[in-house]
Order: sequence, then C-alpha cells, then structure tokens
Amino acid sequence: MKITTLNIITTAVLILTCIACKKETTTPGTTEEISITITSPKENDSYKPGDTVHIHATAQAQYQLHGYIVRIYYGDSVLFDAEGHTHSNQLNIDESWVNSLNMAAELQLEISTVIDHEGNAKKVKRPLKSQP
Amino acid sequence: MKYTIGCVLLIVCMLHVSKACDVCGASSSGQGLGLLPQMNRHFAGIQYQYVELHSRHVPLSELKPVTYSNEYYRTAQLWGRYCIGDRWQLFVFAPYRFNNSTHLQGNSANGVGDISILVNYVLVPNSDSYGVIQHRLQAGTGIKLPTGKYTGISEQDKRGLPNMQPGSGAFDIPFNTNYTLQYRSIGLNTDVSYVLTTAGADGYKYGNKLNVQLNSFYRTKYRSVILLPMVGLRAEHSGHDYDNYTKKWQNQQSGGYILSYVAGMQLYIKQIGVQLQYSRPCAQYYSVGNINAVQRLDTGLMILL
Repeated sequence: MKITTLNIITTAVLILTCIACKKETTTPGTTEEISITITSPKENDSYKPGDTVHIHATAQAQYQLHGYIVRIYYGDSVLFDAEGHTHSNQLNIDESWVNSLNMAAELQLEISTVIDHEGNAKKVKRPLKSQP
Repeated sequence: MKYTIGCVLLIVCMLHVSKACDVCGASSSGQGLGLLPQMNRHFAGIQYQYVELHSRHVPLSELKPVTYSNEYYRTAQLWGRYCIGDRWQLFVFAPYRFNNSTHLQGNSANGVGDISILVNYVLVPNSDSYGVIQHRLQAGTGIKLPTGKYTGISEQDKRGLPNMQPGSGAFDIPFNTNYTLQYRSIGLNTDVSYVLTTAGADGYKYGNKLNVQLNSFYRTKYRSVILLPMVGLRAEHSGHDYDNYTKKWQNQQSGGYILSYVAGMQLYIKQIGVQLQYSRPCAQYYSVGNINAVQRLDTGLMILL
C-alpha cells in the first residue's frame, strides 16, 4: 500500500473519529425562571354540577420546557388529571373539566410546568369553588 | 487465476447489500454499504427492510399508567451503483417507507423517503493485494436530500422514537468507509458509516448516527449456485436529537445505542443475487431505556448490469 494511500486513510479515520466523538451540548434551566400565567379560571370562581371549567394558561421560559400537568384537587383527591407533552419555551395550555361534584367544596387547580422526566417542575395553584 | 479470484470477490462481496444505518432504520438514517460487488460493474437492486421496536411510554403525570406499544418500520428501496472509471463509484438510494405504531389506537406514515447519493473512491483496489490475501478499501461521502414527506416534529419524535415520517425534512451528509479482507473462501468485511445531520426548516435536528458492522463470511458453491452464509455484529449509535438546534435544545429522550448479532445467507445464480439477513440485539440502551429493538430483517435482490 502506498504511503499516500495510508495518509488518506489515516486522515479520513481521524476526521470521522473527531466528528463521531463531538460532544453535544444542551442549555439547562431552573424552575424559578419559568413564568406561568393563568387567564382562566379566575381565583375562587364557582362552578355548579355539570359546569365546565375552562383552563387557559401559558408558561414561558428562556429555555426548553418539557410539558405540563393540569390537576384539580378536592382535598387529597385528584378530580382531574391532564398533561401535554410539548417541547418548547412557550406552552399554551388549554384544558377543560366538567364539575362532577354535587356539593359545596373547596377545589384547587394546580398547573405544573415540567422541565424534564425527573419530576422537576414549577407549580402554581388557584382556588376554585364547587357549589351544589 | 486472476479471473477466478475476481469472480469469487465479485460474488462474495455482494454478500451484504446496503443497510439503512441508524438505530432502527428510520428516515433520518444513513446508508451503510456493507460488502459490495468489487469489480467495476454497474448494478441495480431492490431491498426490503423490516424493523420492529417495542416502546414504553412514561407519562409526565405519575398518576397516569405507563403504556406500551409496538412500532414497525418497513422500507422498500431501489438502489444502484454507477462506476466511473476504475476508482470512482456513484450510489443512489431511493426508499419508500411504510411505518406504523400501535400507540394511541395506531398511527401510520407511508410515502417516498429521502433520496441519498453517495460518491465513493476506491483507495485500495484488489490489484493492490499480495498472494492469496485479497483486500479492498473504499471511502466516500454524499448527501441525503429532503425529498420525503415531513410534517414537522411529531409526538413520536418527542418520545425519542426514531423518526416515523417518510422524510426527515433536512439535508444530511453521510460518510462511509468499507474494507474487505479475504483469504480463499473466508473473509471479513468492516463497514463504518456516519451521518452528519442538519436541522430542518422547523429547527429540529435528528441526532448524528454512527454505524459499524463487522461480518465474517464463507463461500460455498454447488454447480452454478453460490451460497454465502455469514455472521457478524452490528453496533449502532445515535446522538441526541435537538428540538431547536439554533438554541441547542436537546431532546434528552432521544439517542442511544444498539449492539446486534447478525446472521444471514446469500444466494447467487450468475448475475442475480438474493440476500436474506436477520438480526437481534444483544445489548441496547435507546431513548433512556424506553425503546427496545426487537428484531430486524433485511432482504434484497440485485442484478449486475
């Protein structure tokens, strides 16, 4: 095998190795940097049985978010649990729940903005009321 | 003698026709060449590849159950080689993809895939060989064109599944090297391919792919029929995808590696070759362990022109 051929092969292998081993980077972020705005429902809005709770919110950050979880609690019971798996720095949250309670109750809307699959999230809560 | 050796190499090196590289053979994958006809002849062929994956879907909410599904990637591909002189070879690959998943009541994507063009230069031809040991080395690069249908980032992409759409929506730059060593009726072939991906119009970039395959083969002949059993190993590595490459937003759910056993058989009658190859993974970690390759089948028919 000629020396020039060997040189070409060596160079090609080195280039390929360098490209193959290139470290890819990512941009980290913290949950404190996330801004969540709930436009609906308003604080302490009341809902009768069968009423629909329209949940509209946005979450924003300077880095990539992983998704969101929307829950409505009655005490420790979860009445509603929805999620969106959306990779973006801005999440538009649009969910709805029909009030299934037939009594007066203090409810809690919780919106979590998830930044990874390790459970790191920013949560905001909003009190709601159920009326008979 | 030279003619006999040449014929043997010609047949033997048809052993392993092109493989869609990358973990699972999705549309963002590249083209490994494997063993090829080593004489300066054009050829055309058709290939069919079947890849089966099993995936686990972990919800964001811990209150929701983990679900499971199967994904099936099928590719029918026309390909061919055009020789330019003794050293240069032009390869063209035109795939048609049929992909489907059982996730969420099932979904599928069919269509023409991304066309790839490769140019190879034969660095070490057979004529460089000494004695009974034959060896050949070629290397090259090319381009994969975004000719396949692509509708932007999908739910499968977010979950780290290899791209299920027919196209990747981006230009990619494949590199390959291919080395064959043969002693009498036995031989070894090493094929290394690397795909340098670029971001599509939506900013999504599939991970770069590295594919290394080592095959040993043996040639046996019965009248005009030549049989070529082979065994080998294939290692595939895929880097992380980027949801937005400009902002370096990495998709941590994507990427990984698969190491597979490979076994196959080739049958050749005159100018027609038939390929059958089966592989199963022996070690793997893909999409943070949520996706497992189950099996893969490659078949092909080639005609030397």
